[in-house]
Amino acid sequence: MNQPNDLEYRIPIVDALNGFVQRVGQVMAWSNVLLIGIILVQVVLRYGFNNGQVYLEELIWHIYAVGFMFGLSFAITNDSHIRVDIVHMNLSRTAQHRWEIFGLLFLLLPFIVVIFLHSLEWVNYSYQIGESSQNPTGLPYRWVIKSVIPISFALLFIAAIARLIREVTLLLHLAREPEEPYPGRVSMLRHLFRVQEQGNEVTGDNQQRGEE
Amino acid sequence: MNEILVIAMFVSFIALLFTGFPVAWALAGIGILFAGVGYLADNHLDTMTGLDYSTLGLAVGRIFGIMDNWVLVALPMFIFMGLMLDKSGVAERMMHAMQGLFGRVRGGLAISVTIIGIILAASTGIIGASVVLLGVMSLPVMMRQKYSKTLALGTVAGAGCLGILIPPSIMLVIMGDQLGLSVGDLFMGAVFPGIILGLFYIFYILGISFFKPASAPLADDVQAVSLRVVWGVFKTILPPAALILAVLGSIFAGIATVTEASGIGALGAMVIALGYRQLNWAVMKEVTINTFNTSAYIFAIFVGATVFALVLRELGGDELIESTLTGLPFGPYGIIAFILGVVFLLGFFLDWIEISLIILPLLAPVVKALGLDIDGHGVVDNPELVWFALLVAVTLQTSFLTPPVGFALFYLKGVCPPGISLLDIYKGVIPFILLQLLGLLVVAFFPDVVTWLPSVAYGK
Amino acid sequence: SAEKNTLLKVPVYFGTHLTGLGSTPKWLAEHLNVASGGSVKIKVYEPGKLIPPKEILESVASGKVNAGYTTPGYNTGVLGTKAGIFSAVPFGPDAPEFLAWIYYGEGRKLWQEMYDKKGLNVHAIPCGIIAPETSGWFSKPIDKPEDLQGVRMRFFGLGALVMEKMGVSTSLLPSSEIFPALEKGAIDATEFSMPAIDKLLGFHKILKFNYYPGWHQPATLFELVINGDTWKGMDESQQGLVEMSCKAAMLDGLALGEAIQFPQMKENLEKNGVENRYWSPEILDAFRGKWSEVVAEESAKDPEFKAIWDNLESFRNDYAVWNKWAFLPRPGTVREQ
Ligand code: NA
Ligand code: NA
Repeated sequence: MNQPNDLEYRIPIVDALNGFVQRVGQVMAWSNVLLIGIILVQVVLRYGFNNGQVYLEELIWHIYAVGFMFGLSFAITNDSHIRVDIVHMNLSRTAQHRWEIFGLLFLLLPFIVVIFLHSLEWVNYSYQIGESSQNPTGLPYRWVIKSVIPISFALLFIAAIARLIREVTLLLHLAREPEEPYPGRVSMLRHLFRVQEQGNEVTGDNQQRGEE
Repeated sequence: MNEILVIAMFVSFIALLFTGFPVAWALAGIGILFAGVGYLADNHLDTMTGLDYSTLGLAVGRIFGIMDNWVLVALPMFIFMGLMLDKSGVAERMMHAMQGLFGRVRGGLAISVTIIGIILAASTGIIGASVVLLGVMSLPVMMRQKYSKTLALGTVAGAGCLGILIPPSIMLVIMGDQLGLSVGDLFMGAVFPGIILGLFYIFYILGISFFKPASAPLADDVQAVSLRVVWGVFKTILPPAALILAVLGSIFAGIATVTEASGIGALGAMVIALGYRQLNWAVMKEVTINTFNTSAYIFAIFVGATVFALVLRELGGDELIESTLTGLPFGPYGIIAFILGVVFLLGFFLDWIEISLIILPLLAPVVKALGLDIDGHGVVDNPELVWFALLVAVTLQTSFLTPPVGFALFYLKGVCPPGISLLDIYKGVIPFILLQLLGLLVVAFFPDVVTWLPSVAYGK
Repeated sequence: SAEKNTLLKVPVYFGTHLTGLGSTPKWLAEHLNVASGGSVKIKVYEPGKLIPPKEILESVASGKVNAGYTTPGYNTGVLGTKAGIFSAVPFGPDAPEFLAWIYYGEGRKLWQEMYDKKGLNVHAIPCGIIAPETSGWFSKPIDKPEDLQGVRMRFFGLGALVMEKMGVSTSLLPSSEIFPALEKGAIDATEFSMPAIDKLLGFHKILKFNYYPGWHQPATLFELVINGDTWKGMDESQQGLVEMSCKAAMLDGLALGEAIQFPQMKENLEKNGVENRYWSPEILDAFRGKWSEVVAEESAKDPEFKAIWDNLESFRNDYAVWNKWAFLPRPGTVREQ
């Protein structure tokens, strides 16, 4: 393929949305290091002092859950979710964009919306009734960890929308003559959606799946 | 009517997979769409699925069930451990050291690759990761030494796939969770099949380099194996090997939980990297972000699959699969063979994660009800399921190696030096596929290979 | 609406393979489905097949699923410790006395009120009871109260608060996670249920000291919770059938539980090398003392706990005279070591 790779395009609005999701992710990523630390504390207390703590055990799965739930949106921004690309890679660029748009509109976004709305209600319920751990010495305020679902799904929504804008813009861009990319008046809004071709220096895109 | 909906759901999922849309979101989206289909069918046709918008709310509780699963905490920790050994260059050092040791043995280089594969795999358990890593590290070296392309490629692909089997394997962690089996039993059950396959590989490499010396020439600059070389190997291999043994050992001995062992394993990998002065801010950051990202795309499939499974179950999928399989006129072992055949074919286009998450839970009750007489030696619970899980594991491993569509082959192609075609890879893996099948037969006909070790470990 | 059939989808807290514990909702479904001639049916979902067990109550209350089978003591995170009183009361009533309070005292009314006051839209039907449980499996003999210090134990309900005061660190693992946790050393000891049920979870393979009596759960109640709107939507005959079936399930579970323990206890002794132990008077007194403290603390914290507790206590005080005169002592009971 001698066309420029998708990742070499930059679209300001997409970069802004992805940038936000990625900044959150880059902080949340450290939860795994925190997790190692808490496991260490638990191990030391348990084997060293014969004094394992239920709340630490609960904290362990709390932190682990934060780690993977916030990763869901991060992995969209750098396109590393697992795909079966046997047929896909032989499709034309426009077909690829069209399928991606189809998937975002009819598969991913409905899922995000349904889960987000249901989870809001569910967290609210937990908050209203003052739910805590069912272990007598466990952690209180169950709604805190439960609210990880709506928050991470909100981020997922942002990442999906960014992806959708990108796919639609690229599809339109591919259909145009490259010489006159944006005929007509250039508004501020339009500028946000302007496709720029750049080198390989793209935020977060070095997290390709094949490399890990 | 329900049957049609169930089949339509599966077919749509498989068809949509080939559009290249991420598997996780295809699963989740199909789940949501078919909840709608079920709702319409209830209102306009004679079904009773009970699906509606409100029922979909159950998916939230199910996602929370993944979040408060204390067994799966081990997953990001094992991933961290593997990535730390890789990104800090510890893995590469092991490779170089081994080369020195086996320099004078014909096929020694390929054997080193296999052994490193086993050690590395043991910590990552991700096929893509092990194949890519082994490929990047060892293909150029083997090419320089004028190994035959096919032997080199076959070794890398085969050794990389051993990874999903050799414990601590994240695939076995997931299977244990899904089948309600002890992860310890599965880890221990996998030890002998893993060793047997590893030995098959090594004997094959020794054999072919003896009968076809041109395929595995010795390096030009072979050095005598001096004490210094041995010491070097010892020094580089020992820490990571000891780490993995300590992690496994503490799980097997019942000293630590899988979660604790995985966390300490991750810490240990950091300590080893520090010992080699390879632990710096950049490495730390890279490993952290990569662990985050890798865990995320694995867990995304958990999340998607839980929605898919909820809706499939409400459409009557469990009953359909159960009645279809038990209705087969094959007898219990025939049914197992049939299931493995299906798993093998599914392995062409699904990764082990989806298979373990969607297919296995559907099959477990069927296998349990077959009344197979597998000896748990009075100690292993559900020995027939432990045995079955390992048959599935070996089958999947084989499937990933098998042309035309094998994950390992694609990953490998991605990192090959120029001048190597997919066809070279296909040719290379054939002997390894045959070895895999041999291994599968051994596990199938001698279930004790699986059940004996866990039985002695807990049989005090 | 006499024509309308109702399907109750019932996710359960315990696997139905746990005969005597999880098997009750299965029994209920089989018999109700036949008896109702299809007008009201129950479909049982094994734990986690539809939702994780911990989510049952919330899902029923919000109508995501129309019914569920659980026990209030598993929902103390939502309902507070008072819910434990409707599951099992340490040093509390045994099955006949407990049922007397539930059906002919104010027990059932207070039970339903607990949900109503929380604003949970459910109709709760007592729907199962089991006789005493064993009070724990340990790897070593527990001869004096200090031996419990630092033990990590799976423990259920109000008894867990007592064990915490004894220096035990308790957690409430669901049945499927107990054996792996024991095997991997995440916990050192456990209680779960009666011998025939504990056997299915394999505790005897790892822990050889089985303690009695079941001071923490002299009797344990279970409930069928039905979404309030679903309940109101059912006609009287359907409601009546469900209520009656639950009463029948209660009796069946109790009878089954009494019938299946002795063969297993024999096997534990003869084949599995398990030692049955009766708590020493000193330890039992310590448990009882701590339990009084727990009651005082919980009553001070939650007036509703106090109200329910006082109601039960006043019933028991009245019952005491009957209890004192009417029964023979249980023959052959172990009273001391
Ligand atoms: Na592995
Ligand atoms: Na119990």
